[in-house]
Amino acid sequence: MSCTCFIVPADVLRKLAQDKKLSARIRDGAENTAKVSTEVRKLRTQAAALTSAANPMGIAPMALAKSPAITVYDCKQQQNLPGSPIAKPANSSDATAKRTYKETKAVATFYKNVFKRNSIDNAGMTMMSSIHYGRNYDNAMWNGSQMLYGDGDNQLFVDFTLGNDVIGHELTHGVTQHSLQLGYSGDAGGLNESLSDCFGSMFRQWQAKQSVTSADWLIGADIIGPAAKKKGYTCLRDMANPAAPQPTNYSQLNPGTDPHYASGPPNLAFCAACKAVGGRSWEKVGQIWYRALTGFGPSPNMSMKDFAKRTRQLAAQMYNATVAAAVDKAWKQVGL
Amino acid sequence: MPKSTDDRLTIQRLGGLGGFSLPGSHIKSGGELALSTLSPADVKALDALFSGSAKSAAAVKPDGFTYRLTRTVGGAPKTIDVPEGQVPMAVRNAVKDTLA
Repeated sequence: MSCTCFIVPADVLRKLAQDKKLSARIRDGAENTAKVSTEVRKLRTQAAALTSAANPMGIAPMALAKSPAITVYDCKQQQNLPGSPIAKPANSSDATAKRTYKETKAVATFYKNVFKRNSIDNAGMTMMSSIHYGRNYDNAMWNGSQMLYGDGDNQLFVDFTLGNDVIGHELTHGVTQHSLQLGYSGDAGGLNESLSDCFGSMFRQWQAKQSVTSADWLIGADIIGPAAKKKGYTCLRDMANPAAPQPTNYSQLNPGTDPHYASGPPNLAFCAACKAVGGRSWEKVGQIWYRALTGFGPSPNMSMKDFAKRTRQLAAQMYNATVAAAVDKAWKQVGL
Repeated sequence: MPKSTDDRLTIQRLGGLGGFSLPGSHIKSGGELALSTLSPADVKALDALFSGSAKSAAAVKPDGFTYRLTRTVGGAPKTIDVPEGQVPMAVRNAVKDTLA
């Protein structure tokens, strides 16, 4: 499980909040951050306890919880989390805030309607995002409790919230944290990244009502900036054709490989299985991957081989020999 | 620009959602700066990171950046990998992203 610590401990924040030598703005910021950090810690502890208690029994606590609240904070180009709360992000004049709210809500709907999951933890956890993180910040991430999105430098990347697959990707890191609890190195790290790409791409396809043949299978196509486009770059990763920058076969991975590199083979396997089965990605193969992710409790060090084995078994149990053969062939294609 | 070898801090930024600076990546992310331009607090923080005495922080978070920092002490280069949250802001700000 991703263990996340806040950068500034709560006691330090409280001392800063009372330091008369600091400006009122900084003191208020420290006080607000301390309050929010405390609540987020409580929330995270509760969520982890609930996941741990429910998983061994196969109980989905979603029925007990209402739909998740969606909150958006503005970092105002600073790197202090969570930033200032945006009161009504759905109606904000800030397009990034409005989009973040709308797309986060859509991801919640996607998980609820397609996979019967209630939010990140399947127990209605608040979906919290911070936007305008850092100055010209070329990244988006899940920090263990929330999403954060940079505005990009407007050369290589534009606003990261412009990618609905990016938002789906980041939220899926949270889902993984509250289910399989994969680590972030080796095979487990590559699987962790791949699952975020798979569900991020599925979310994008689901929103566009695309079939596996009409989908482009690109990750990050909507956040590529003008300078990168000018040089011919179209995306961060191509799940259908990971080669350059990613490997296409498991044999090409080495210990210590970064998760964003190691995700190439499982991404290709998912895409190949979807294309072989046909229809829409979330209807069959997506259901198999979701069950493999959420149906067996934590397995932080899971190997790609074991994940592949699990999806092969699930394909046969949940569907039929044709689907099972498609999944098997897809994994073999990438050396697993 | 850095004044001497021992004064130089070389920075490489790895990972992130875009997989910066990884094998095969088209995006290179890094920079360098003179340690003498940093505040005493930032130098102290770096010293703690290089000596391994910095308070242990969380591992790299999903899609978080890792900073590979290299400096030369007594003629011998030393390199460490550090999650972004532990890197002083002045060091983070010295990084530029470029297309290969």
